[in-house]
Amino acid sequence: MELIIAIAIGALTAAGIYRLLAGSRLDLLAGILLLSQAANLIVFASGGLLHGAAPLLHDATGPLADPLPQALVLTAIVIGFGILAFLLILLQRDSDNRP
Amino acid sequence: MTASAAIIVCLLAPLAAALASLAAGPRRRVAAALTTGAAALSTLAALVLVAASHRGLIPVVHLGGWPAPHGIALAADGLSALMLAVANLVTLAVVVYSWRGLSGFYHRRRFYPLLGTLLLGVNGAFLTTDLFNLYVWFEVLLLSSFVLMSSNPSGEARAGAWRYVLLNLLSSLFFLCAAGLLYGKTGTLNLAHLAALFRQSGDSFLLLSSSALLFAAFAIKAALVPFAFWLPASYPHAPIPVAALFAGLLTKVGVYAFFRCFGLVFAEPAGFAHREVLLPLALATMTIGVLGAVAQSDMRRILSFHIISQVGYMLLALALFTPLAVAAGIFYIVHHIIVKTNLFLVAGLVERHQGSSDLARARGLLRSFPAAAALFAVAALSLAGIPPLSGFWAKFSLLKASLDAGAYLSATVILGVGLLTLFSMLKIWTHVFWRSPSDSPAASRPVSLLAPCAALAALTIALGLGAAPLFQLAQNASRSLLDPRAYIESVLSSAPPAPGQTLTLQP
Amino acid sequence: MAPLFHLLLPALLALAAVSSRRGWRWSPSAASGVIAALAAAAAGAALWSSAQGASVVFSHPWVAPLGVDFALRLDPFRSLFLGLVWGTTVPVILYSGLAFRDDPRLAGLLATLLLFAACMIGLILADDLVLFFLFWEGTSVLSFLLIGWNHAGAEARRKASQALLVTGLGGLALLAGLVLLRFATGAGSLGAAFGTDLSAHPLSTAIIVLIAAGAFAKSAQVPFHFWLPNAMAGPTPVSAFLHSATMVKAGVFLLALAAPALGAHPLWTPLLVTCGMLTVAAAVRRAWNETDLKAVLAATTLAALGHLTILAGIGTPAALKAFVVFLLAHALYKAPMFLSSGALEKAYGSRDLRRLRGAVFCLPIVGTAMVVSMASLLGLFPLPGFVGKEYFLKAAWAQSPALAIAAALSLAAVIALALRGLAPLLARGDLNLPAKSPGTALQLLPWISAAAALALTASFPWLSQSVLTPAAAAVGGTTGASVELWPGWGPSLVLSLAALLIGGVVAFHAARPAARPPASVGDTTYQTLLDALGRGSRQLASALQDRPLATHLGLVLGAAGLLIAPPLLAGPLPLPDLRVDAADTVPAVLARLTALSAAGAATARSRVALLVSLGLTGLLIALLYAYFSAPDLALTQLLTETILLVLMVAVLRWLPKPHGTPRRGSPLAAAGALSAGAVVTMLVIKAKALEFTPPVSQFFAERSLPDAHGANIVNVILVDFRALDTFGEITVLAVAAIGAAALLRKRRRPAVFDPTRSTLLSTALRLLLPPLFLFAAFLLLRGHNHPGGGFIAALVAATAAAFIHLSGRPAPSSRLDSALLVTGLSLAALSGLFAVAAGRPFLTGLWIKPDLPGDGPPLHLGTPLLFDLGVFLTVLGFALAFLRRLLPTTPSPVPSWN
Repeated sequence: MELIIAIAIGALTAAGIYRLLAGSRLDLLAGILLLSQAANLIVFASGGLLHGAAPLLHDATGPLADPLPQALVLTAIVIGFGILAFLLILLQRDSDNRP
Repeated sequence: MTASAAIIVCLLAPLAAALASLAAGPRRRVAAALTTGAAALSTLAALVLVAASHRGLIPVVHLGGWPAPHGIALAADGLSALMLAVANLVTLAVVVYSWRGLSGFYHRRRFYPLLGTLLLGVNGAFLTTDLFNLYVWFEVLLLSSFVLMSSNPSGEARAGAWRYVLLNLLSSLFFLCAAGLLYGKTGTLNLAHLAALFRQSGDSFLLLSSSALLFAAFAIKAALVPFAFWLPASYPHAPIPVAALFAGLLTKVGVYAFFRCFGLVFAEPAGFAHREVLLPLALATMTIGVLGAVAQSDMRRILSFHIISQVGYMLLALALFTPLAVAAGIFYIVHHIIVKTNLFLVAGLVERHQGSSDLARARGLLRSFPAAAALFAVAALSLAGIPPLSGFWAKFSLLKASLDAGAYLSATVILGVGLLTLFSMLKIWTHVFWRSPSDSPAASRPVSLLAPCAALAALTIALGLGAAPLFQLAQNASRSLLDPRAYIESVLSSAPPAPGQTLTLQP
Repeated sequence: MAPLFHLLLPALLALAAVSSRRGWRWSPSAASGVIAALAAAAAGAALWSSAQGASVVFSHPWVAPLGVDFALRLDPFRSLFLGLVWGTTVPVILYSGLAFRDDPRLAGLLATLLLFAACMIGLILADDLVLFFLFWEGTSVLSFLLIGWNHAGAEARRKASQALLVTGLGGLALLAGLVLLRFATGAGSLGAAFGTDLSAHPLSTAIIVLIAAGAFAKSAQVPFHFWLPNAMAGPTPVSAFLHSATMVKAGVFLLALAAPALGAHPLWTPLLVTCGMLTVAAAVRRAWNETDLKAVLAATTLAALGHLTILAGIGTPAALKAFVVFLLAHALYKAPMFLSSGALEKAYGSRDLRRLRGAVFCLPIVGTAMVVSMASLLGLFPLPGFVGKEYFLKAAWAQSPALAIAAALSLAAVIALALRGLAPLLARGDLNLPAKSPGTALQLLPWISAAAALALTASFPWLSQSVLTPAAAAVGGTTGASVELWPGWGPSLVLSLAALLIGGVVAFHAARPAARPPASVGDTTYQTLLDALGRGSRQLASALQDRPLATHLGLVLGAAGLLIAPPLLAGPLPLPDLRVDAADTVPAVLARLTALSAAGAATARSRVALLVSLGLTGLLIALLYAYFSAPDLALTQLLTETILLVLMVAVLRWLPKPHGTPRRGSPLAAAGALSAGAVVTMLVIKAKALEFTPPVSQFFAERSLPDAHGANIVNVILVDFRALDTFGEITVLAVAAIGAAALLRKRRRPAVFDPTRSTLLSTALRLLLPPLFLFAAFLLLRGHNHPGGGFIAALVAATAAAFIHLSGRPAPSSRLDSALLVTGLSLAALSGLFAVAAGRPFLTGLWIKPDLPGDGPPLHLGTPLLFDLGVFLTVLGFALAFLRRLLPTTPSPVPSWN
């Protein structure tokens, strides 16, 4: 199972890089978005991929998923969100200023 | 101010300045005063930390009361304290300069709030002991710099800004992946813990691909060739105080990250190949950077390429990896931050006076603006490594370290690049300061523009004439990097008071 | 203390010069007189201390970590040099004061000259290797400023730069040599380093080459000789002071000091003697057809330096004794010659020798000085020049007769040059009368200096015993015999007479064509190198810099790949688990769909397709997160993806369509992308296989409920365990919002539709708002124990705000955004400061547990909840800022900050 996830991450990376190198501003944005998804998944995967073991301590039976990578990815998602939103601002400004 | 309080002040003062400036809105004077005060306060705090490290202490704050490596700890060892001191000092100089040296256009682009967040990110990066936290502070300072860099609306500036943004975003992505992979392999994110694990296991092979990712991330940030070409595309277009700050600080945060991760954690002999990878890249960076500078004909572009070249020197010091070399590298970082910021501020003076920093257009400033000439001379000679200025001791100690280590190629490159640096500074001098002056109307020369430059120049001279104290500090910092037992102990084992104290309220 | 005094005095005198002003009593000219007098006294003091014979050392630690001391040494040899420097200072300062009396820059010139003197004296006195280098470079820099004194002219600038670069190059070589010397001898002082015999040391060849390179550059020996004639572009006092008497002597000074330690090395003598001879030849060749008086003098100086180099090269005590004598003699005759040339230039307005015909007779005072000095240059008895040549030839003969003959020929060449070049001055017929009189003082100056030289000659026995012999002993070791005026009959006398004869014959019979002086090989090589450097660097910079963004991105990715791939591929690649269990079909399907959708995003041609595939990818990833036990994460991913897509749609509606067909990706990009994907896949697989230590996060599971009072561990990590990360994260959002406000200042485009026209829509939107806000509050409060939390709550609230925006209600002013940001961040920071007030580390959680009636679960209220509230407010402010600026809307008033 890990292989298929790894392949998915690889596909995201390849897609992101291909888009990034395509050139237009929108492509750059899309590429960064895809690459951040891939990076987030990498961090997430480092904690192990457990099903049905949400890190909530109320009805905890059995091993819990590692909460730290989840917190890290959450932070990374939010930061990525902020940055991508800013890139949209840049995109908007450039289109405003274009003659 | 106790050392622990100083650590918190270094974070909260810039934040407070940013928030207060944001709240102050269009009231520029208020924002300027607040930011200046905050920068002065954090400089003071940083100096307190330097004094503490001089006494051999490593102040640590375990945030949240949680012990490291579970919580995040902030530590100010020799290296961090020095970096904090010099970074906050030059920020203070730039803030004073920007009272009059920055047009209203850029002030309306939220300059002071962004400066506050930038300084927050820088200080956080220097203080943190957690790899992911380092990533977060990198993002803070990166995004602040993105906005500052993008504020110039001209076409070329916008293109340069996109390049800056994208390449640095790649750096962040590499960093994030590396942090994740490292956590997966070692189960920890704390730098001291990683250093301890690394030294115990000796089985470094497993970590090499993550450290390679980290290397790439920092190489982009620090402007190591071939990752460096975002810099000359973007720095020449930023307004002068912004360019000065970036030139002094941003790449050095990357260099700091190199020293911290590849000096502390992934250290020889088990770590990434310093000699095989970093050394040739550093030599290439020095050479290509200075050749790029020689090719330019505008002061700002020349200085931008020189940043790349000088970063090569610092990383060469790390690559040589002897105690003297690392100390020389740390000394070099401090010296360079001061000199580079000063050079950009002086370029700003030239631009104000002549309307341009192009070598063909600016002329005769020795006669018409002798103060600027003197300031430039001090900074330029220091950059070129002429004694008795700070740059000479930096180059000399690096040269000595490489000759002591038998690295003759490195020594030759150090000297050759030094000569070319002198050459390009000479070019600026003979074009901009010599030649007969043109009849341009005299621009105003407010003290608030000259004073920061003069202060930085005085510091360069002082560090040249009295290099011993700073070199001593650099040697201590180098020692604590290469033999980090004290650092590891301070961060990991000093037990904080029990967290999460609960008070019970009676109704 | 004496050495320190000699070092500080010129600096003080420089200050005195700078403080003078034209028109005051203390005018620069007056200052020059005083300064000259003090300098004369200092010269006397130097010679007197030489007569004492003792060696004085002054040392003080300077940069202890690097082993550098501030160490000065004064021995008879150095005293001689010191006396020469001071002695030359006197006439130079006086000359400047007289000749540049009305020049507004005189004070600056005097100060710079005196600073230079300080550096030169420092160089002479320095005993520490690094200190020596310091003054060495100082002389180069000041020489640059002085050569380029009249920098309005491009040629002066070029020549000044050339001088600095050439001596700078030599300086760098010297630095390397000195560092190696320190390493080889373990000694930091010149005295100690040159006191040991190094000729057998393995590093000695490198040291010799490097030190010789430095010395040759400074003393203008081949191959670095070409800068000295060009340096004559400076004003006369500069040429007289720096480039004939002081700075250029620094190189041979160093060589003389080094000779005892390195002289026995097989490379030393051949290198120095050859270069010295070549220098003499080059100088004579260059100046053979010269008509500029200063140029002829420069050539003779260059030749004299060549001779001094030869003597240092021979290196025996006898040779060093000859060095001392030759040095003194040169100084004594050169100074009056330069001063005379200055006076002549003032009188005739030109330095062209053809215009100066018969000047010796027209201006007899000056002429006498010139003639006497020339006689000494030619080596006529009983002038010091004669003694110098005698001892030179003696030392050469002692080394080898062939060398002595070569030396004699070189002397003959110089004699020929001098006679040929300066003959017009002595021409009898067809005299040229001077345009104006240069003033008595200016005429007396050379005469006085020539007279001083004669006086010293007259007292030769005293001079020899008190100055010359001790100096020779100090540098080379004693030879027993003292310096005599008449060296006795012998081969040296024969050779010197022969040289005189040959030189005279050649001078008087050589044809005098009107040919121009030949171009200097060194100069043209230098210029060619410089041009090549310029061209090459421009090509390099352009090749690296002027590239499209994709190239730079590709370069970075490729280089990163090169770094990562080798360690990745080198180790064993664990075989991945290829089986797919029944339980794993869901994630397998999700993963496959994700990969497909990513491929779709990569290849999408139209914007719509791109946005759809991006949205789909995000959704699938959220589902993956949900499947793998990360509810908070899935919610966050979903919400951010949605809002991001909404914003993208809003922006892209108005983005102009790209011209022409969308560009097809290049195959190279595709190949690069695929290989990168493969590398990443391998990275992930390898990472999964290598866990070996228990992660630090076990702590969290154990302590989250008891100490941090939260059951949602992820949320507890975010607001308590690792709150600083979250703090940075909301700062990033705040910065993004500030960026939005800073960069997008124009008003927005008109709305797509006007919602106020549809009452059904506005009512529906209005009805949705309260539940949404309540839901947001609910999410915020339960986050600590259940999925939820500040961020998610804020995004829900932002969605509500978006509805407000779209419903056409006038938007609250943008001050609300910054107010939210400021309040949110302040609250987050404040929540951490409570702990500081209680004496705990920043961001420590402080809790209160109010006693509730009944026995429901215990309620804990604490600072992390305040922190979460701060997160909520900041994120809300961020979202509002973006929604306001990117979503289409009806026009509304512009806030005042813009």
